[in-house]
Amino acid sequence: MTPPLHARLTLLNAMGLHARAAASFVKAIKDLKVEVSVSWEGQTANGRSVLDLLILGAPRGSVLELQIQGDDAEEALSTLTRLVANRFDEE
Amino acid sequence: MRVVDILNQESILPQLQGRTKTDVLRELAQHLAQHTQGVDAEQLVAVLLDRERLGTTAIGEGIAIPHGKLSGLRNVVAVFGLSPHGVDCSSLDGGLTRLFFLLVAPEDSAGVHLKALARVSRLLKDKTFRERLLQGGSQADLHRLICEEDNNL
Repeated sequence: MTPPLHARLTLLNAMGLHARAAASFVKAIKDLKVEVSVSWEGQTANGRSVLDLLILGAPRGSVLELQIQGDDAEEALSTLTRLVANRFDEE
Repeated sequence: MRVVDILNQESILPQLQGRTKTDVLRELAQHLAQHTQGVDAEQLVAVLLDRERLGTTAIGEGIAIPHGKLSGLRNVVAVFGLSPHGVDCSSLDGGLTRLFFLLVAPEDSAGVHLKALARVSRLLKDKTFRERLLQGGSQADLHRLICEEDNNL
């Protein structure tokens, strides 16, 4: 198995990882063959679960640590990086 | 923030009647308006429907967390409702939604809103707990269950 990709993404949108942002995150990787874990402040969430991502409660400015593994890991990384950098297309 | 800080026993609807998402949102909003000073049910329904248009708040696992902001509110308030039959809310996982947790926050309260969302999500994370909720009961029964789980988080 190839080693996982790692990334640190900073939340730039005003609302942080709120419900709509979390849903966008999950949708972005829905059809990709990847497992994504998202860690912040000692908690880790499954990047495929909106419920899990909401539990993080990460506000604007948080630096999320992503670990991405699977056949589509590179595509997932670029998609998620773009999504977060574009403030989840919210603003 | 704990769930019981924003949800009291009277804010629980053990048997939602609505068969569509809009009907359920109306039921939840009317209930909240009856128990919260200064909240207009129709205005709240409009806010909630606007939010749903941006994307469903049915996040999967049978759970929806409809939410919105209202000026004039002082604190985050919640209503919890159980749908015995389940409602098609265009859920992200395609399933029916049975657990509805309405959250209404004051304007300019991004931080508190996010904390409330996080706490409610944490409460509903455990599948066994969700199944116990789905077995139903009175307002008092459901409130007791939620208090117990909330205290264990």
